[in-house]
Amino acid sequence: MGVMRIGHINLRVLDMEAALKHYEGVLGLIRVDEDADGNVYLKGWDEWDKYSVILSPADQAGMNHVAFKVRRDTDLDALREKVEAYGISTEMVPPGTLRDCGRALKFNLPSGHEFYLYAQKAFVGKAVGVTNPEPWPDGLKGAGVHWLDHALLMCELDPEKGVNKVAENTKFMEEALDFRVAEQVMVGPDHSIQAATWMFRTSTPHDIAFVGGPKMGLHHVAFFLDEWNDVLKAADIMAKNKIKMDVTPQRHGITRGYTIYFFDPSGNRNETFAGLGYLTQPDMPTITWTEENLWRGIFYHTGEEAGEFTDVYT
Amino acid sequence: MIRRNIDFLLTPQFEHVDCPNHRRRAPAAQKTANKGTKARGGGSNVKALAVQSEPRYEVTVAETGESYLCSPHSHLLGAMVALGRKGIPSGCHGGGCGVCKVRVVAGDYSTLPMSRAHISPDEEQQGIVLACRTFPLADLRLEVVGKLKKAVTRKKFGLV
Repeated sequence: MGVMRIGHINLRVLDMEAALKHYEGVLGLIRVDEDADGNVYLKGWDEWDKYSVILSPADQAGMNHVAFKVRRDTDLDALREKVEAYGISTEMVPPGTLRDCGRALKFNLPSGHEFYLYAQKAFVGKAVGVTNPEPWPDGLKGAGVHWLDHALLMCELDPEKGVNKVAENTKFMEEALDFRVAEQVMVGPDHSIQAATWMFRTSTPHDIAFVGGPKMGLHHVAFFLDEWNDVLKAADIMAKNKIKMDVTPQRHGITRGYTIYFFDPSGNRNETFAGLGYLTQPDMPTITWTEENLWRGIFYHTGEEAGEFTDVYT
Repeated sequence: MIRRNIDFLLTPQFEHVDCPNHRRRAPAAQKTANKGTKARGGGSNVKALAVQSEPRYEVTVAETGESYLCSPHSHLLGAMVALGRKGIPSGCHGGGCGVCKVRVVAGDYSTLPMSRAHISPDEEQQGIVLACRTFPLADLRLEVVGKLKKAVTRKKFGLV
C-alpha cells in the first residue's frame, strides 16, 4: 500500500551523444526507447519496469523531475487527498503523460522539486528472465549497474532567514507520503536545525535524501552495485574513460554504503552505491549525526569534505 | 575570434597527438599550431618528441599571475588540475555546475555547450565562459569570475 520505490529520474543533459556514452558505456544502463522530442529512456539490467532514467536534451544541467511508483492505482487517489490536505496543490495527469505510464499525480515538494507518483509503467522484464534465471546477464557494458537506487536533492537552507526546506520536505514526506527518516544531520548551537535527512519506503536506508544548500538543485543520482569489488572495478572503468570523479571509493558513515561520486558529461553528479547498509523498518529509531561529526558521517574514512562536495551541484 | 562547438574535441581519439585524423579534421587548431606553440625540451627520446608535436598554449590566470600550458584538446580547467595548479575553482568538469566561470580577456578559444543556468548568451559574447568547456586556440589570459563561497567564508551551520 502506498509508495513502493523510486521509479525514475528525468535528467537534463547538454550533449545527448556524450550522455549516452556515459550512461550506457560507463554505467552500463540499457537504452530502451527514444521519443520524438529526443528524450532517451534507459533501465538497469536488474529492473523489470521499462525505464528508470530519462535523459532530456536541454541547455542547462540538472533534474526535471523524480517519480516514485505506488502499489495500486487507487493509492493515487488516497495520496492525492493526503497531499492536498497537507496544503500542496496537485494535478492528476492522464496516462501517457509519463511515457508508457498510467495516470500520474504531479506536484512540487516544499523545496520546489517536481515530483510524480504513478502506479503503472510498461513491463519489460530482465534479460535473465524469471524461470531458473542466471545470476546476471551476458553483454553488460561498463560498471553494469543494477538499478536506480536513490536521489539526493539539495534544498534551500538559510537558518538566519528562517528558511529550512530540508525540514519542510522531510515533514511532508513523513506526513503525506508515509516515508520514514533513517538518518538525519542536526546542526547549529543546540543541534536544533535539521540540515539533512535520508528517508525510506523500502527496507534500505534511503530512497531519497535532502541536504541543505544555498539553492535548490540535484546533488546526485545513485545507481546500485552489489559490493565493494564492484565499486573498485567501477572506479577503474571511470578512470579508463576519464570520468571526472570527486570522491574515489570510500565508505559512508551515514547509510554505511560503499560509494564513488563522479560527474556525467553535463556535470550532473552520479554515485555508484553498493551494499545494503542495514535493514530499515518503519519502527526503526532515527540515527542522528551532529554537526561536529557531519563529515565523518558523509565520508567515514577521511572525515572531511572532499573537493567542493556541497557547493558543486546542478 | 571565438570558435564554438568543434566536433573533433568530442572525439576521444584526438587525445592522441599522433592520430592522423586530428590533422585532417582540425584545420583551425593546425593553423595556429606554430604561432602559439610552447613545445619544450630537446631530448632525443621518442616519447619526448611525441609530446613536442602537440601545440600548447600558455594560459595565464590574471589574479594569481600564474600560468600553465594547455593543449587545444584539453579544457582549461582539466589542464590546470592535471598540473597541480590552482586559481580556477574546480567542480563538475562538465559545464553544469558553473563554479569555474572565467572571463577570457585575451586570446582565441573554442567551447563546448555550457549550462545556460550559469552562462547567458550575453555573457558568452563578452568572453565569459566555463573553463571546463573551453579549449585554447592561442595563448589566453583569464580573470576568475566564479568564486566558491568556501574560499572566503566559513560555513556557519555545517552545510551552509
